[in-house]
Amino acid sequence: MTEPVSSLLQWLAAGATLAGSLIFLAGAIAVIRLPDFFTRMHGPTKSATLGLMLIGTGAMLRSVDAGSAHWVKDLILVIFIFVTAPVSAQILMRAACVRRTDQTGTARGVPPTYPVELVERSGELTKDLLEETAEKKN
Amino acid sequence: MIDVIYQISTAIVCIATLLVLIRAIRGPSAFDRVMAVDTVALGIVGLLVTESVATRDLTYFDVALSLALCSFIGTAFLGHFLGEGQLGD
Repeated sequence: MTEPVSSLLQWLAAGATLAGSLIFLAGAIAVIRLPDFFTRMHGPTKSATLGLMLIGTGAMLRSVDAGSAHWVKDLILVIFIFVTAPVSAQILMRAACVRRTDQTGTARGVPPTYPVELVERSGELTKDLLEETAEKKN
Repeated sequence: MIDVIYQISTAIVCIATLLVLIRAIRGPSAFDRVMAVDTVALGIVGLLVTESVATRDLTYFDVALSLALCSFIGTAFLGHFLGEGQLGD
């Protein structure tokens, strides 16, 4: 039989891991279900990051409970994911913005269920906005 | 009881990773594929961390750290490549 504090930490770690996996599942469902690339990007940026951070926090609590110094490594993983996942998502989204406005003005690779007129119109709007900013610069 | 919770979390993360893998296979544009592969790597990191906690084997954790690092570098370079059209810069 373990001590009460130790048991509480173990339950907290298990709860954090379960919550993190559920949030990660929500992000995965967002990736598979949402209609557009830019909406799909919500999954990895927010839900997957939070889920992984919760899973790492659970591992950290478990290490603290075991009394080992391994929790530093868990903390490093959590901070690393907190920094890098939004950065990579931002790089991808900027790349998608550059490609889709420069070449055709329409969003490439949109699934057929998405209303195409709306996409084309958003491309035109983006083009107008780009031209306006260019004129302002000149 | 706690072991059961860890098994359930492992199963949930596994299902989520498989769902994201469907998007990686079917994704209409290259950006979708890159994003899905990045998310699959994150899911594998989560699986490895959960496994390392459940089996108390700290080797999995080092694998998870290096996989997170490699997947970030790969995604950043692929994003630059898809956006600017050239590597480096």
